Amino acid sequence: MSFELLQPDSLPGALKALAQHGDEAKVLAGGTAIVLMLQQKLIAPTVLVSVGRIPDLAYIRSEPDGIHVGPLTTLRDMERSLVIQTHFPLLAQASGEVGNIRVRNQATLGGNLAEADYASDPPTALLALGTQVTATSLRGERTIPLEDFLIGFYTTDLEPDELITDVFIPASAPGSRTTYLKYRSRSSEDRPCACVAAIAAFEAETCTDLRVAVGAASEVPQRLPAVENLARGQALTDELIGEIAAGYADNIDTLEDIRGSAWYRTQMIRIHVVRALEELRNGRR
Amino acid sequence: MKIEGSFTLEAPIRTVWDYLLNIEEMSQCIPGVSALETIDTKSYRGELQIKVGPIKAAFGGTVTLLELEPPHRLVAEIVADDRRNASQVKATFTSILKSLADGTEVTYTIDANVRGRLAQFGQAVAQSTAKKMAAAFGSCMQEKIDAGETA
Repeated sequence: MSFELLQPDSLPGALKALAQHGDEAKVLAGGTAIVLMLQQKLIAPTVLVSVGRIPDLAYIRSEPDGIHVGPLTTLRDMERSLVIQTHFPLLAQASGEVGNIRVRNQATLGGNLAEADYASDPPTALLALGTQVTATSLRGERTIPLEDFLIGFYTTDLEPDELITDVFIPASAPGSRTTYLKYRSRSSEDRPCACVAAIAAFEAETCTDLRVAVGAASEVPQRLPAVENLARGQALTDELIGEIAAGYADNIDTLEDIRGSAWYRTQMIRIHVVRALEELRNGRR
Repeated sequence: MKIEGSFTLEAPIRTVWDYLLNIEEMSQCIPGVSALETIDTKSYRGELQIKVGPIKAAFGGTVTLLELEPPHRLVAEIVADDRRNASQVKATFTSILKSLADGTEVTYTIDANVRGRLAQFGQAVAQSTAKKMAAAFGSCMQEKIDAGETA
């Protein structure tokens, strides 16, 4: 294993390095994923661009229309952030479910999204929240909705010369209830076998808006707007909850790995969508 | 690890069989295959490049046709290794062709034994990658058959 380690101390410096080395370079942030891949010799970049010395990329900034989270913000800081706990409790929950405290102290939001591991907690919560990712290169800046950013296994829409420079999470409707359920099939520190992030707004008993994302069960986390819309203007009865859960279970092409078979994952999706929606209906915030 | 799938081609079973057995033409439809050489009438040597996100694999190896039951069933053995990733693959590929009213259904089963670094990368990724490759293979074969018919 031999590579050149670059440690630019400015954003333009990092972008220049990425533009110069293209596909041969990999970005190093917290290193929880890329160092493992390097150790296992699954990847062999010739250049590592460490972004840790670039100032001002770790922040959680609240604005009237939502929050901006810097790509170098650690998952631990997201888990502990009062702003995130108050306004986006499911994101605090999902961030706090990753690995163990040592991993969360090191892993960053930008790294988590750029790695695009299918068995990861934050992307599913972020997808339910309607997150937008800003990517910057020397060519300019663009904002990508998370559903278009995550393409497949370990594959994102990022070009080799682009760096994630901001993650924006729009504010949910006032009074929204949210939950994040992680189902593990092996040890307590394991990655999810399946996970569900759900957000619902209500007027009295009537559900006015529902967003459900299911993750770790297929290549990328998924929302099914046609199924979500079944809830709009309706009371979340047991029957309707069952129908929505069946919609997710039946329409997600589940994968098979050491955490469970495709059939098993389909059952786990059904059960956990039911549990998530019951929790929202019964009023947990 | 077992990978199964199927695709349908709009062509008679005999035509599909002939195309499948025309190894040089057929291999052009497998994404990432290059440097195909014929060793003898039943064995071929070639290279296969696969990219999943940041991970790149480059396999070199041989394909040997073990059983041929025209035009219904073929069994091949694949033995390949990737030196950079220190990984080996040994796989049995079985394909069954079935005549339909308006075409031919091609069912495939790959029983693969992967050893080395790529093995830990996981079944989910391998299965999904194989399915995507099979889908691309199917549509490429259809194009070749259509082009052959009109030519």
